[in-house]
Amino acid sequence: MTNTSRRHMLKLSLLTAGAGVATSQQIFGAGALVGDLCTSGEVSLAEDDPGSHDFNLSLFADPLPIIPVAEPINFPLDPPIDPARHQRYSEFLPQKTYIQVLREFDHQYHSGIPFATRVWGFNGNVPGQTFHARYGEPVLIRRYNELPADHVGFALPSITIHLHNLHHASESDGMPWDWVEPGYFWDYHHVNAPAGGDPLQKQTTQWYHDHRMDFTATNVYMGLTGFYLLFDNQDTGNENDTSPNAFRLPSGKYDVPMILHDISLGADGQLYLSQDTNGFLGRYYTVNRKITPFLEVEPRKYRFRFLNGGPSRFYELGLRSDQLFKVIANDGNLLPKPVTAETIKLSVAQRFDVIVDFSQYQPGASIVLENLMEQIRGEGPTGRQFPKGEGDPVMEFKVVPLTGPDNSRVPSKLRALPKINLSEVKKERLFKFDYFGGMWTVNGLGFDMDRMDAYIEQGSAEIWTIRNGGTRWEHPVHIHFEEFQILEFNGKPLKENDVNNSRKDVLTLGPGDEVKLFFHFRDFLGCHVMHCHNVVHEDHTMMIHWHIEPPKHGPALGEIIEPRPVMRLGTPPAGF
Amino acid sequence: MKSRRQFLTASAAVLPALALSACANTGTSNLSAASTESQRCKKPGGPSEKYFPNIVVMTHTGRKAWFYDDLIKGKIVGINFMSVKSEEQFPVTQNLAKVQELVGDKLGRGTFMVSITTDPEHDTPAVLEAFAKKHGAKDGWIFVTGKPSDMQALYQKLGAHGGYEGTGVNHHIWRYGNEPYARWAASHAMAKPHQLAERLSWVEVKKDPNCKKA
Repeated sequence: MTNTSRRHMLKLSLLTAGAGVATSQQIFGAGALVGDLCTSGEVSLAEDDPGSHDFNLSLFADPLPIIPVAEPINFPLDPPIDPARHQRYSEFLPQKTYIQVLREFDHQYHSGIPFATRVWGFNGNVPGQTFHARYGEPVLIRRYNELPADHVGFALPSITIHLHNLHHASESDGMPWDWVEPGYFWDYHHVNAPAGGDPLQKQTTQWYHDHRMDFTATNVYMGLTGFYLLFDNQDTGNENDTSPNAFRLPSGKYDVPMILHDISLGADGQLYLSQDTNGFLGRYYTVNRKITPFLEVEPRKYRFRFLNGGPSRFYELGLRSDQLFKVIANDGNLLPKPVTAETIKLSVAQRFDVIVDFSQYQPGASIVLENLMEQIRGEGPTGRQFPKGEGDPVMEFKVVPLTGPDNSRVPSKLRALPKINLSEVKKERLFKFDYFGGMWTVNGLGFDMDRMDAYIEQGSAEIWTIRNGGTRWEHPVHIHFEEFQILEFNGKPLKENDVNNSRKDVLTLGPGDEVKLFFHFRDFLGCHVMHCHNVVHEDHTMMIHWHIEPPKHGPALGEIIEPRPVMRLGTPPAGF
Repeated sequence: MKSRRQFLTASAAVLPALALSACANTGTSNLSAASTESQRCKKPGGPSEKYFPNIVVMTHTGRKAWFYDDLIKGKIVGINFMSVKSEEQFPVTQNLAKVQELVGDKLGRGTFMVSITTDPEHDTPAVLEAFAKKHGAKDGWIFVTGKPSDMQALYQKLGAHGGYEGTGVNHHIWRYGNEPYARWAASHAMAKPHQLAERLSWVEVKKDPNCKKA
């Protein structure tokens, strides 16, 4: 089946759906759907956008790009790192140092497109190289902005790379205001230590992406994303590990990070992005920046790390077979125990690590990964899911002969949740995500760099209630710095086997949803943000920022005591 | 993923006219496909044409203007929606008057402000001229009116949130961008004046300090 025929089917299903009444099924979380997500009429498919060209591409034509692993450098940085720019630097001296250079280059999104597409990436890679980090091994990443200052196009060659949602200091988080212009660099110090020193707070699948104020959607869409994976003494990254602590999850080439983006291309083969502040839906699904690719898999277990890279599309991923997913991690946090699921729902920036066992298949078998979530507007899904086998094809798994024994395992117990101690709560806050006057708001206001939205005591815990004030849109709300746990979803606790019973950093709010979160603010001082991760909403002011203060420092003293670095002038060393 | 060297070979096949960087750094980065002459020497001119309706409007000085050709093309511009009657409830023009002061000498010389009325039946060129004068609008700040259907079209395209009507005064969006470089974004029209003025400088093409020619 070609993409074209799939699109016809999508249109047909819309027509036969009559007046477009929502089926009132829950989309995310435990809440009943409130409001009508499914607007009748005015159906605007990505395919109908005049800026989006149909290249009549065949499905599963190109292999899935396997993202290279970042290699540390073995020479000193010049100029050297400035320790005064980083909190707790001497406690977490970098054991590995990396250089990434951001440049513009040409990329082939599909072998059937007669043009190369201009993209932005890291050391010539899009997505950027995958970092393999380990707890107890702090790293330093120096990123040079060598993007063309005179770039013509929707993206702004002024960047700030956020490592989502690593636990680290503000100055290394890639804050929206910490941008780096062409010709400059920034040093990012990642301590790779669990929040609060608690081993139960260790994380796994993280990612990095641009976070430039007002231009995050454009710059991410242009290519500025990559994975940052964390390993530890249990999730060791070695399925043959003989240590009794090791989980022995599928590793090496059987551990595949996959980032999903939907894109549109103009007739000249260049990326096309609309100016619609609701959000953007692309014509083509890409995985690791290749349109509907295939991956050859052996009849054995795999660990797939699915990440929705946006900009605005929601996914419900399923396999066109009887094969189930074993979900082992949510938003880069290992679950207490694996949860078996037929489909997984991913809002923008969400991650799920899943185990898929292909051992029941013979070589030659084909299993299609499809997206069952219907979405016709940028602001959120319609509320309907396609039946199994009728979804949009995302990629194909082609089974090839086994090349060796599968020594990987899926433990019945993974990582327990940290205990919630409500006596630690110092403050409760309410944040309402809504729309006003053509812009996206939090508590009725657009983002304002000069307005601190909350002062929080370092080391304390808080309860935040996040409410979706809208009736037509969804917001994947992302909170930087520490992972949260959901106390209540629409007034009720989650069921024990709910996959969202985990540590998380993206909270998906359907219309009218209200969720209570518990989390800490430990280890570092400084500013962090909360925003909608439909990056088009984020760019249109759906963001707040807060400041973590020392205990008894008192709010709003105006005294900035953490480092506030600025970009530094410099060019990459030879060879980069 | 191809290695960098393989990639360069592949891209050279696609772009046979590859030349060395106009902004060469040291070492092998000279060979970066990102910095080819063909990409460095793009001639600015009209990349945002498809986005902006090129309809005939009237300015507050009583002149006819093509919206895209005359008010947007070739310019850094901030665009907002307003009406004389709603100014009391939503003092956006008062706010932008402060932005105008911060833009300073750039206003009218590469950087422009365009205010589009949502009430064209009341806001005739003469009414807008008096309104502009009252707010001290200088050359380079243009108030726009026209046929109601045309103003509605501009509003739907640039201002209204995907065509939705929100509650209250739906004029909060402030589009800004650099037309020759196709850089467009949006913020709140009622943001602090210095924040809006800074945004107009964000989309300027900065000189790469390591680059002699850029």
